[in-house]
Amino acid sequence: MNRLRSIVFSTICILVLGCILITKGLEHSPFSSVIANVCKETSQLEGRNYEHFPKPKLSTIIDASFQADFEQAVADSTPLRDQALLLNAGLQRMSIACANRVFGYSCYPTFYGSNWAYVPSHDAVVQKLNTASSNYLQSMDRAASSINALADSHENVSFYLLALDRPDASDANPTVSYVSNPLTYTTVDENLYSKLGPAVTVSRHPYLSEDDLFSSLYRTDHHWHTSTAYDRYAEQVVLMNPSTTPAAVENRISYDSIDFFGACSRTGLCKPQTPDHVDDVVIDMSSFKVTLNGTEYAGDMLSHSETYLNGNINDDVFTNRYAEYFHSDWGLWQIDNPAAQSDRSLLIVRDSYGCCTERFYAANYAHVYVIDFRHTELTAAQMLAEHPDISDVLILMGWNNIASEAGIRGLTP
Amino acid sequence: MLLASLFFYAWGEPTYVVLMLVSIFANWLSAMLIEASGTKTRRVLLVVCVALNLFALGYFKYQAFLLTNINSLLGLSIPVRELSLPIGISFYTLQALSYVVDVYRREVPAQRNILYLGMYICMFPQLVAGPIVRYQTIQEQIVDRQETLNDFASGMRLFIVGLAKKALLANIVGSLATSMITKGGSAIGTAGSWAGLMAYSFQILFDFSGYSDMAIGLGKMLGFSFLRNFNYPYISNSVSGFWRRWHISLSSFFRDYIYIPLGGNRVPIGRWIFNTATVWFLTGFWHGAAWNYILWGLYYLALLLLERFFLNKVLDRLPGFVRHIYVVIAFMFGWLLFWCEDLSVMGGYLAAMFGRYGFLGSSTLWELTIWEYWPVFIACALASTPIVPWAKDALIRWATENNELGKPLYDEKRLSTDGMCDYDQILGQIEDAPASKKLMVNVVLTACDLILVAFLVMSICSVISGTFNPFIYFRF
Repeated sequence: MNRLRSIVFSTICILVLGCILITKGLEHSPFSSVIANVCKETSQLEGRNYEHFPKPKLSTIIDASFQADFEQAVADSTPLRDQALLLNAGLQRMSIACANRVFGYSCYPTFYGSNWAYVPSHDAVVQKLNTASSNYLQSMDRAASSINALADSHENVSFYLLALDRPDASDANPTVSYVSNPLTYTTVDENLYSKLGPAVTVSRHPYLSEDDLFSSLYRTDHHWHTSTAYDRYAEQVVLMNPSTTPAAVENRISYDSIDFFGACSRTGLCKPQTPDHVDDVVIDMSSFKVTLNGTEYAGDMLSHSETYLNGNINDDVFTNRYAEYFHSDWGLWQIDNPAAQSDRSLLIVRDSYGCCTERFYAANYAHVYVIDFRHTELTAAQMLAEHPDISDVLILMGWNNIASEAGIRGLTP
Repeated sequence: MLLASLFFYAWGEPTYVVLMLVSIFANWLSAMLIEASGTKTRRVLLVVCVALNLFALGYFKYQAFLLTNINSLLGLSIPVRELSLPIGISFYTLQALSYVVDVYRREVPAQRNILYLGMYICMFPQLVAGPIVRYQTIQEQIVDRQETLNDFASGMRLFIVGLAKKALLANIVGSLATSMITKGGSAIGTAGSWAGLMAYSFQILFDFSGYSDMAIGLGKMLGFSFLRNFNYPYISNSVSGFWRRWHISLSSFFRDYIYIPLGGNRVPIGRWIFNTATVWFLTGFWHGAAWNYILWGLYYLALLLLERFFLNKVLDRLPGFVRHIYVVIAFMFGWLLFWCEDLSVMGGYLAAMFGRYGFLGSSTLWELTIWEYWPVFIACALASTPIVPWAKDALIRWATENNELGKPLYDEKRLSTDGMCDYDQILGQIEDAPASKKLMVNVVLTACDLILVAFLVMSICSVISGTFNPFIYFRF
């Protein structure tokens, strides 16, 4: 009996410990299709391609970089790696949830040491609020000075700032009462938005409650629903040009059969019970032309409704659906619409919040230039010099990107 | 085995493998010469060999510390070389020294085959983090050992226990400990500083004893029987008892190769204090080239002297749990000395422990995160007691209806690893039990194996996650 138990136990342990070798060995066998399902080349969860085994060279062996790369490749070759990461975080979250039964907090970290918190009441994941450190406040001050200088040096151009409320700096974030000296929308308003001069028109949109926050944003992602983005656009575009009307809505869609676990879920290694679903506000883009890197595309490259309706998408639930459905971040592109309500030109200075929004403005402006300082060295001042037709500038970025080094550089005249 | 060990070492230390080879050759040659020489020559050879070993250790581990202190003390500017510490040098140097001294003392014959000696010095299971295995413990196993299925399985069980201690306990409480010391006393207050120190106390126990268990388990899988290195130190009722259970292979090394040769305790009181002080100074200094380690060693010297001259008489009259609380507080403050290399950080931390920055410092309780860890602390507290041996003994007593089981596994003097995860031994003890009870015991043992497999999977998941996988014994 004991001998049999020892054999079974030892065999199971060896199989578990040797799973990488076994799966590597089976990669070129008739079971390769099965292995392909457990050993992928890319992780949507981690947002990266897995490392391949390095080729040994004497120099890399001596400086131990070969060993480090080899160990990374071994870790990346673990079968069902995504599931292993989620299982580990899930077990830790169980322990934290158990601890929370005594303390009764409304949210708790997604694993030990995590910067993301699970909010059971909304089955949501949010980033913990940061502390309003002097570094952050100084960056905001520098950003405000840059924007003011840029606006003052272009008197013929109207500057607007759509003051987004990001969940990681929102007064409605569930961790707001749990963090000492939190950095919230109020802090950002006091240190950035309120310091902008009269040449910049600021539209403030803070979330008023947790319910407001989680109905405006995805529960597992830091981005806003397209319907929220459209509502903000509709207000903003009328503010920028009172004679215009917002783009007509043809349809509002939610792709309920396609699961979406967003950036907070991926980084927080937490898969809530109910997934998010991509939503869209469909407008007529038939006359749109998009120019990216010198190539012209049709307007539908800005939202992949057709692809989603065909179900021709990545089946990994951790795929970044926001980028997949709309588009990923580029440095500079242009949307032209000969059928726009005006022949004016707009420069949108944006971050990923713009992915689902920029196209709406093309219904009102004949030329919309879109720039993302995280992906280009160009600055707003250069764009304005290059395109004297630009009459309006809209800053559509979270505070973190405005007050980043790239943001400050791009907004400095 | 030698090739595997050298490959293992070269994987982490491609350049220092040469140092390891030189060490093997030098110690092999020295021992051969010592054995073949007359009394005077052998003593000279021993001194030369010991000096060579200590020079290598001193050069790589202590050179920067010593020169920095000499420079600042004498106003000199002797250049200090920033060398990376060869992994495991403190362990394999002591192993090599113990071998050469044992040959000198004629307690073991010199190993003529350099490959066998090389295998002993750089044996991969315990090369990096101990335990310090004496040559005399495994001299026969080096040449002739038996690998059995039962040993393999019991070694695997012990390996999994060690891995789980490291990956599931030490790493998790370690993340709290690091967070607390990084934030500093003013941010964490009294609650955070005590929780952080408690976390560190568990981290160091499960980190180090986990590695020892893995090493002993791996050795067992390969047919070696190493002595145990940790014997539930946190259940001790005195500081001297703590040191009979903590890092046993190091304590016994210093006892047999420093303390007893200096005269042990059969000397006048002044000399005894000198002998003890020497041992504790070296114990502290061995752990790291920094003042806090020396302070840590001297702290234990002070506690042991206090116990010997005063405290033991008081403690003997106190209930067991009070003595236990005294030991817990003693080793926790000891770990604080061990933890903080920067004495100013230590001062700030101590101030926080005693209320200087209020109960929570500048943080909220939620933000401190200490509340998240109480289930882990309970698991750690249970795992630091001999709950498994107690359960095992209870199971055997139930099956055999025999209350005379001999020395339990956690007995202070029990050093062999027999009985640790060894199911054959348990089944041997219940041979005369009724069949139904035997079946029940087998069911329990199978359930234990299933739990261990679950621990293995969870540990691998934790290691893969790699969110927090520090190796706090890197200094050694």
